[in-house]
Amino acid sequence: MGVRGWRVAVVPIATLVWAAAPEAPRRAAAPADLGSELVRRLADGDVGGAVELARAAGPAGATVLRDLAVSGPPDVVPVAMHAWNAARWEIGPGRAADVVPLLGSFGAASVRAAWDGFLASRGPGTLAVVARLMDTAGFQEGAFRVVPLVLSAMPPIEFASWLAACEDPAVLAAVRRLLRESAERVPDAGALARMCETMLLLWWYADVPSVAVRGWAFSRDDAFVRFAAAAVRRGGLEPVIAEALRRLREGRADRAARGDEILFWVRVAAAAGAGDRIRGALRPLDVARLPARDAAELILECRRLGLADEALRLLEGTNVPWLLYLRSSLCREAGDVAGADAHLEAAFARIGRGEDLDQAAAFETGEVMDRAGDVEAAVRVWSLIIDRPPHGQIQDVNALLRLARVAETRGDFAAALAHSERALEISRDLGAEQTLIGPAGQRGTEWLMRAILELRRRAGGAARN
Amino acid sequence: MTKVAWMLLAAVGTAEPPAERVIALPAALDIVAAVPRFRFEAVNGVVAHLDAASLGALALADLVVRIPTPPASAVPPMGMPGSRDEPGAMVVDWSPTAGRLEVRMGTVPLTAIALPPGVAPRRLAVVQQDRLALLVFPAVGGPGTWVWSGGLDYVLRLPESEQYALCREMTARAGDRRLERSEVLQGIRWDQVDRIAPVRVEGVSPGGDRFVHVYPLDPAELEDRAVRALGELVRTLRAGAWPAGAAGGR
Repeated sequence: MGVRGWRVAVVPIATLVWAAAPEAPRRAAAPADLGSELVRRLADGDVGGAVELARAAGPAGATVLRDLAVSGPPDVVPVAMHAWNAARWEIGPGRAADVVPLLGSFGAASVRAAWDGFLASRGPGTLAVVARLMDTAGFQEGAFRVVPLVLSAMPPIEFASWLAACEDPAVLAAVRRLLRESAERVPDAGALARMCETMLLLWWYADVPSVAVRGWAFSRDDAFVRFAAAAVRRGGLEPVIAEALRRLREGRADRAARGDEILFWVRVAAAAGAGDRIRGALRPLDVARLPARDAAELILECRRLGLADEALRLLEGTNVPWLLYLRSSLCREAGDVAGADAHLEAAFARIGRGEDLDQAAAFETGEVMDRAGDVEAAVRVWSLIIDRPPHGQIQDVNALLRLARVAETRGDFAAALAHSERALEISRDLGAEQTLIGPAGQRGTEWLMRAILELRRRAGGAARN
Repeated sequence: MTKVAWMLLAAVGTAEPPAERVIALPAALDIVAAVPRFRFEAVNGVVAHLDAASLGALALADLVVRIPTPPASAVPPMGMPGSRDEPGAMVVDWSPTAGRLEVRMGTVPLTAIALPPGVAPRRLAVVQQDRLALLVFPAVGGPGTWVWSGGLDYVLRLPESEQYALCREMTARAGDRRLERSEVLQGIRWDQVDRIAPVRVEGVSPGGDRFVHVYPLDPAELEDRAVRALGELVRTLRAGAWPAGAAGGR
């Protein structure tokens, strides 16, 4: 029956059986001893006969066969499982029409059990049913919403096996389209990962990178880099990397999303052994627009790929302090000590002058240095932030707390105490729009006062010793 | 090309054989003792699954060396435990002045292994083909006494083998050896690492396209990796550390 002929009204589950009944094929009544007869046939190895009997008994037969596969006599369970796996989509009670009302009220607690039942009876074939509903007016959005639920019901290998065995190209095309289009709407990294796995198993390599990049945007999980890299390697899709970077350059992605995606593609290139595809694909402007953390990661990835010269090209002509610092590190690595010192001093000078560089940007520079393990440079930046106007800002407090942490790590509790007390003093006078927040969401000033008490105790102990 | 189209073309004899795709990614290698109970991951993609005896031998050793087997030569047996110059068995001499090990059978020299400068291998783990052995040497040098020897197998896992999970009509060969589907998917067991041969996998993809994948494996590189991994394990154990990525049995 074509989908356009289905009843699409949302009806209570109780009426579902009635609604479906007139269309259901006539089935033989289940014999009272159906279970024992199925056990006898399965024990004799007559899988075909058992499936036939279950099919003739209709939904009751499906239920009994499934129960035998799950909790039947131990010697029968393996055969019953085989029979159930082979036949459940043929003999289960759910038919395509049954899913329409369920889909209409998807998300309601009242239909959850019915959904579970439908999934149990249709197995991986549920995906095909949902895919075909995409063409039904009013159900497209519901189909997208139901995809994560269906994908979480069983391992990707089960869906992929079912699809690999499917001989109907229309079904395959519909499912492929469902997965591809769902990926653009499903805000669930778990579901996107299952899509990637299913697509990789089916060799649908061309579809994987766009799904993986969505998953990366939600989770920043390296698993998505591995999925995309596997698809690029196996499908010979290396040109996709440069093309994606080119589109990012010209596209409308916002600053944060652009940074995320650029990093994703650079990592994919590294994992797929296609680092050369990055060469020339980015402009200095693209890096200058990235947030400090992303820019630092991008340059680090280029260095890992042996593309230090390309990284230097991307940092040419910059006057952003954290980029000047990254450029200085690259020069030092290349043996250009004079160049390295000059760029580092330029970064400090930019922060010290203030001018158009706000406190947050200056603080980010210190963070980039700190993450790179260059504590001396970071300490210098934090000191510059405290010294330069405007004074009494939240970034002054942050810089003082960083200096206190470094002093504490070095065992200089008196200096740590002095920095912390000054930070507390400033934090008490912060305006309403600036609030200090402690670890795990504690109130900042209270947390800081406790830290100061602890430092006083330790500083006193150190003085006595 | 779809499955149906390829079958039609095959039926009229005009189908071109699919182009070979060479997959040159590094393969993962497992070193497996007889009754593996301890698992160690080396940084170079080698995983050692050891039993108590082989782990004990490596924990006692100062150094691991591989005794190469010349092509087409007979492999002399290792000596019995407690023996040092057994007739008909391999003898390993340590010469502290020359800084090398000399391997001989009777008076016939087989090979010599240069030791790193300053290394005095009083307890030496020896890997040769499918054997791992422990030898001890007197401080003044001379023939080593065989303390223990045990067998090792090697399991080679093809890179990205999971892509074959749903392929059909799959056949695979490693040199002259025909491989089972389970070997392609889960790993190919070899009793000697220097017998590992390039692998060729043919079949039909889940989408119905025929494919031929060739893995150009280099046994010398794999053997080198295996010995380096055991060397890394020996150094870690000697430093008194339980290696990262290690898991132990009961």
